[in-house]
Parts: sequence; C-alpha cells; structure tokens
Amino acid sequence: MDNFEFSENTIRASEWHELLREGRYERLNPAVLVVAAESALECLALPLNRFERIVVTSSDFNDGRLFSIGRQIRLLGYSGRLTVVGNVLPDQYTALRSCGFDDALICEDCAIGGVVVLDKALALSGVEYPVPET
Amino acid sequence: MYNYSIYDQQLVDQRVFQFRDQTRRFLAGDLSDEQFRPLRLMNGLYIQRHAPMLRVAIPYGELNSRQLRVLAAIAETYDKGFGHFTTRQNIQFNWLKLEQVPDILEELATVQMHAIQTSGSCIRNITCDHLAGIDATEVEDPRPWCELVRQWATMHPEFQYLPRKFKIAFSGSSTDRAATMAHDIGLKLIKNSVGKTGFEVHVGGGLGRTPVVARKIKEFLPKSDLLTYLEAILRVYNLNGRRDNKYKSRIKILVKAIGLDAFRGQVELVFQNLNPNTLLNKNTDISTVKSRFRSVFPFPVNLGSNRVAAAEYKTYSRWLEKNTLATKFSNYRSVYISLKSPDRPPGDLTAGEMRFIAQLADKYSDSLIRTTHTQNLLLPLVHESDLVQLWQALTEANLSIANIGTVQDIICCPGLDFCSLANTASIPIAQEIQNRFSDTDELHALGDIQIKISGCMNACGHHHIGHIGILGVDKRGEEWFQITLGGRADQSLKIGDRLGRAVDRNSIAGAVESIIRHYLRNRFDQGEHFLDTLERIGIDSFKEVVYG
Repeated sequence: MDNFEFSENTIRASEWHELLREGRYERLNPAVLVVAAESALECLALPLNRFERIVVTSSDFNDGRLFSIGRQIRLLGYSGRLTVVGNVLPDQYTALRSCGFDDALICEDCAIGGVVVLDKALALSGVEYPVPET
Repeated sequence: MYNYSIYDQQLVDQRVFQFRDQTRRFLAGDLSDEQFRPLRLMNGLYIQRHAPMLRVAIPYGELNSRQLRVLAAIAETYDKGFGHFTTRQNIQFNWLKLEQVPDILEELATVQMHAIQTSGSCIRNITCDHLAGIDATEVEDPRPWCELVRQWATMHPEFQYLPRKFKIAFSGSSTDRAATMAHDIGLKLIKNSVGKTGFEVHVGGGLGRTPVVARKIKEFLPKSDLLTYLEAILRVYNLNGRRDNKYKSRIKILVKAIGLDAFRGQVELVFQNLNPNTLLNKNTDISTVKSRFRSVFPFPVNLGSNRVAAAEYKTYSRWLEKNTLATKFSNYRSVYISLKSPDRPPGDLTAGEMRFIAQLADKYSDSLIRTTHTQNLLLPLVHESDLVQLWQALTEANLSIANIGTVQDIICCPGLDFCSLANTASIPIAQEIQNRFSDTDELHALGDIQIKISGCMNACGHHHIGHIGILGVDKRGEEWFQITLGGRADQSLKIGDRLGRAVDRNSIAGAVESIIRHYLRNRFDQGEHFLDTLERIGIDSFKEVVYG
C-alpha cells in the first residue's frame, strides 16, 4: 500500500524470499515483514517468528485472501503482531480478529482512517456484534 | 428435523441486528453501493429487474409447517402473495422493499430461518438428497452432516470473501438426487472395503458458462476429518482462485488450470497441518447435532376413509405411481406435491397454497415438508392409510397433478420475467412445452424425460444436465434458444451435447415437441428411456427432425 511507510526495518516478503534463497539474510535484521495479498504464498515458506510484526496489505476489501493469510500465518506458529493495511470495512473486524490479526491500518479513502486496534475497535465501532455464547 | 440450540438462535438474531445496522448505514449514505453489495449478497439480497429479491435459506431442503406459514405471511405482507422455490432448495421473494428486509429477517428468525449466505462469494446453503433419511438404499442419513457443515460454514471468518460463490451438496445414497457432481464440492457417504462409512469427495463441479463434472479428489475420507478436509480445500481455493476475472474464478477453473493431482497435493499439504482442535467456527460436534434432530416417528395416523370412487380410480392410481414413493419405513410413503403445470410458473407457490400444505403436513406428515432440487415439494412420510384422503385434499386444491419426472416437470430459472442477468424468458417457454403435452395418457406413456431451461449462461435452470436442455441467448436484441441433448443430473452426471444452431422464440416449443415425438416413434418399446434411444439412434437423427 502506498500509505504504508517502508523503513530500513521493513522488508517485503518477495525481497526477503530472494535474500533467503541467496543466503544473504544473516546480515540483515528487519523487524517488519510486509506481505502483499497477491504474493502471500511466498511468505508461508519463511521463518516468521524472527519478525516483530507482519503486515499484510490489500487494496480491496473484497479480497478474502487476507483472512486465509492471517490464519495460515498463525497456524505456522507466528506469535508476533499481525497487521492488515489497506481497505477493510468495520464489518470485517470480527473476522479479521478471528483470523489472527491484531490491528488494521485503514487507508485514507476508507470510512475510517488511521490505526484500528481490533480488540478495542470491536467494542467501539458501533458495528460490533456480540459473539454468541455456546 | 434439526432444532436450533441457544447458540444457533443467538447467531441468527445477531445477524438480523447486524443487517439492520448495515441497511441503515447504506440508506444513510455511510456505506457505498460497492461496500454494501457483498454485505447484502451475504444476506441473500439481490437487486433484480423489478425490485430487490431475497433468497431465504432452506438448509438441505427441510421445512416444518410453522416455517411454511411464516413464509406465507412474508409472501402476503411484503411480496405479491407468492414465493418461488429454487433448484438449490431455497425460496425466493421477488418484490420486496430494501428497508423492509431487516423486518423480514426478524420474522424468519422467530422460526429458526434466515437468509445468511444464500448468495455472494461465500459458502452457500448446503443442499442434500431430498429423500435423505427415508431412502431404503442409503448408506447413512446425510442430514446431520449437512447441519454440521452448515454451522461450520455460517459466517466462517476465513471464508466470507472467496473468489466466487461456493456450493456444497451431500448424498447418502448410490442414487444421486442432489446433482452432487455439479457442485464445487460433492460429498457422498459410502462404505469402504472393510465396511467403514466415510465420504467420497468430489471437487470442481459446476454449471454456468463452463460446465464441468466434479472429479474425485478423495476416495475415502473418514467422517471425523470432514471439516478439516473442507477447510483445507477452501483455504487452497481462497488463496489461489482467480480474482481478476469473475468468469474464471470458480474452483473448477483452478482445478482445471493446475490439474487435479497438483490441487490434491496442495490440499493434502494444508490438511496434514490441521487438526480438529484448531478449527475456526466449530461450535459443535456430530453427536450433539444428531441429538438435536427431532424424531417422533412413528406418528399418529388418521385412519379415515380410504375408498376411491371407481370413476377416480385411474387418476388416483396415476398419482400414486408418479407422485409417491416407498420409503424404508414399511407402510409409509413419500408424497411429492408437483409445482409444475401449464398454469403455474415452475416452482411457484401462493401464500394460500403454502398455508394449505402446512395444514396437510400437520395432519399427514408430522408437520414436515421438504423442498427438492427439481423445484417441487415433498411430504416425507405419509401413512398408506392416509393416502386417499391426502390425494383428495390435494385434488381439491389443484395440487395433485401427477407429473413428477415427466416432460411437464420442467426445471426452469425465473428468466427475463424477474432476473436482471437473463437474456430470454424461461417461464413462458416451460408453459408452452407443458401445454403441448397436456394429455395425461400421453404424458405417462412418455416416461421420465427431464427438460431444464436457463435464460442465460449462468445456468440456474441446469440446462446442461437436462435430458433436453434449453439455453436462452440474445442475438441482436432477440431471444434465441440453444438445445442440448443427453445431459443427466444423476450419479452418472453428464453435460449434454449441443444439437445445432439456436432456434428462434417462435420455434423452440415446437422443436422440443419434435424431439420428443421422434423419440416416441423410434424407441424400442415403452421401457426404453429417452437417453437410451438417443444413444442408440444418435444425435444426428434428432438434428434432422429439428433442422430438416
């Protein structure tokens, strides 16, 4: 996403994959891995727990890959912070949380801008629906 | 029939609350058309030719009389007094107002019904053999498995925004009455070589503009692995299915593109790393589901008069032969109520008829009704001593037409009369064909011929798998019709072959009549089925009678 700031601490999954393949990754120590929804499969073969944060980007709220990527990352044992960046609807917060995301950075042209911590948003957004009791 | 738990009821109630809020935000301009679209579709709401259309789920085709009465009330209060039963066992209301839909959903929720996931790019309503649990030949009753999958798939957080719609069907019998092989996933309960029951899993079937027969991905899946295996298939599809072209985004295209073996390999890889304890959205287990199926069989019978007047005996016998079936319970038969006749759009039922059938169900079939994928209704179990009374009651209401499985029993989409996607009308074509075969003796002499009509390539009328299939196409603003022959929807599911060039609106009913009369003239004897005659004499022989 254009509005996600890349820094020296940040690396795209595709670049990281390349570095790993070439054995050049030991000298680098990025804290944030950025995974684009369309290249998600690359990241699933990477050692993920070395990253403090994984950011999954998507430009379309209809792109349901986000949810499977989050879920798969958690199933692979990743325990750090998992963020979605892009165009998501408040109506999707519950599902994003269930699939393992901690927060969402909503793009500017969406209904809500800025960072949304999903746990808090679920209680504040006005479109949170209580999880049924079993 | 399954009875909701507190959890099921809470979930449906909350979905009503959620959709009311989404509708309010849309009407207030807080949600754009684009943002509201998937939210309303996930709730069964389409914007159709004339008005919003709401598709209400009838999970695996099971209804009770209380539910049917509420559907009647909705038809009367919010629609024009009728509902339309679909090929996926649901019911549609075609003349609603958007702002009233939350109220309708609230009314549905009072009788354990909803419209969740009846459309949109998500896992749709689960369909099933309409004779499940009563067919003497079935391996196991698939309905509890349908319910387990329904609960798992309902608002599953991972699978609400798939590349495209996703349809799952179940069968527990060697005779496939649910067209399972035309589904994204078809599940058949089977016994393996050591007598264990499990699922044969088929994947990648579908109709639409690229008809594909599903292929076997798993020879034998233990029942305990059902949800994890489904999750694996859905995840591979969700991550890899095409999203750039909606005509190429169904799972059938993915399976075809990478090959069945490669697809199976990816599924197995995901599957091996899953276990039942990590499943999302699994709130129950099969034994709990089974315990919530109500069974009060055998139920009281009425023991009224079962005498048929001599003058009516032939008509009654025909009805008994065509519209009733033996079940695995001795002295009980299943009774079809045909929703097909020249004076009724296929699958339509008025509110008054719904109430009348609900009353009959209360009296004769333990308050239970089923919908079939052929757009008819079924009273699943009726005691033999009640059949005459039931037939008489149905006859008085003009609902005893004995045409199940005949050329009048046409599957048909709503077509241009309602659907904004349609190229052509479907309902008037069905009615014209039905009128050409209105002689009862002739109708019965013809035997089992399935005609299926779709008004566009989306194939909601399943034309590809009709013995005679009709597809409406638009040619420079005019309605034309392509004919296919030799399709079938059963366990030997086959896509029909195109007969030749399209015929015009005025010729289509005549062309179908010519095909059927050619079969009549050429069949070996009355026992030779249409498909057998077609195979024996060849499609070219039929071409000649249509095109000269």
